[in-house]
Amino acid sequence: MAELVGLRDVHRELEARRGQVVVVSSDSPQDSGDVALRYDLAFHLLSDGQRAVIRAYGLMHPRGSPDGTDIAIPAQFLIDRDGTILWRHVARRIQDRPDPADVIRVIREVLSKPRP
Amino acid sequence: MRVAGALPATVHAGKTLPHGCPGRGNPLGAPLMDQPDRMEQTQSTNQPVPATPATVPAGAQPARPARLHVLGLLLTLGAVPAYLLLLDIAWLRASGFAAFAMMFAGVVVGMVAARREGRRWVRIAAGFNVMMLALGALAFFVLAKLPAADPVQSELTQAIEFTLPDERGEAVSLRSMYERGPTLLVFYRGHW
Repeated sequence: MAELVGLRDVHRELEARRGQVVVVSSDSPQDSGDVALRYDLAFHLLSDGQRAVIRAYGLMHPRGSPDGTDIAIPAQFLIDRDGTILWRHVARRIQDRPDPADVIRVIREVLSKPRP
Repeated sequence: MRVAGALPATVHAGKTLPHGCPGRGNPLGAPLMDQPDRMEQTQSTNQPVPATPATVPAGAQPARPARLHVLGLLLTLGAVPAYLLLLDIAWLRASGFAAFAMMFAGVVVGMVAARREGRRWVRIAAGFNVMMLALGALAFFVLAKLPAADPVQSELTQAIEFTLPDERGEAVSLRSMYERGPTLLVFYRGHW
C-alpha cells in the first residue's frame, strides 16, 4: 500500500495539468473502497476482477498472490491526452517501484516537450 | 575488565579488521563505524596493554560479551521490521540497503562475540545471524523475482481502452480520464 500513498504526490502533479492517477488491481471494489478510505486516496482504484485488462496489458502474474490467485505485475504507464504511452515502468522483482519523485520529474520533462 | 576484553581483540585484530572489530571502548557501537575503530585498534596494538592489571570485578566480564551477541541477534531480527517500516522510501524498498546493512552488522557483531567467547549459545547466535542473512538474500533476490511481462506490453505505444468499476462501483473508462489530462495508469498487486 505504501506505493499508493507515494502516488498522492504524483496525482497532485498531474491534477495541475487536469490529469490524474488511476490504479488497476484484481481487488474487488469493496476492498478498493476500504483501501481508498483507509489511506485517504483521491484517485480512482479500478477493479479488474476478470483480469481482462491486466491480461490485455501483458501484466499477468499467475498465482502471484499468497492465496494463489492471479494478480498484476506492478507497472506504470504515463498516457498523454491522445492515448499515446509516453513512459512506462514494469517491475522485475516484487519490490521494484519507481520513486514517485522520479515519476514527477519524468512528468515535468516529458509533458513540457511539444510533441510532433 | 580491560585485560580480558582487550587482549583477544588485539590477537585477532588483523583478521577481523575489514568489518571493524570492536576491541576496546564501546563494543556495542563500534562495528557500525569502521574507520575510527580501525584507528583505535592499531593504537591499541601498539600500546602495551599490561598497564591494567586483573583487578576486574568477577561478575562484570561475562556481561559484556553476552550483550554483544544479543545485539547481533537484535540487528539481524530487526532488519525485517526495519525494511517494512521503510517501504515508503523507494530506493530502500528496491535495494533493501537498510535491512541488509543491519543484517550484515548483525553477522559481524555475532562473529566478534563468538570469537571472544566460545560459549555454545553465542556460537549458535552467530550461525543464526549468517543463516538469516542468507535467507534474506534468497528471498530478496531470488524468490521476489516476478515473471517477465508479456512481450505485448513492451510493444504498446497506445493505451488500450477499457472500462472498469471504481472503488464505489461506478464504471470509469480510461479514455474519459486521459482525454481530460495526462494520466498515470498504475497496476498494483492488490491490498493484501
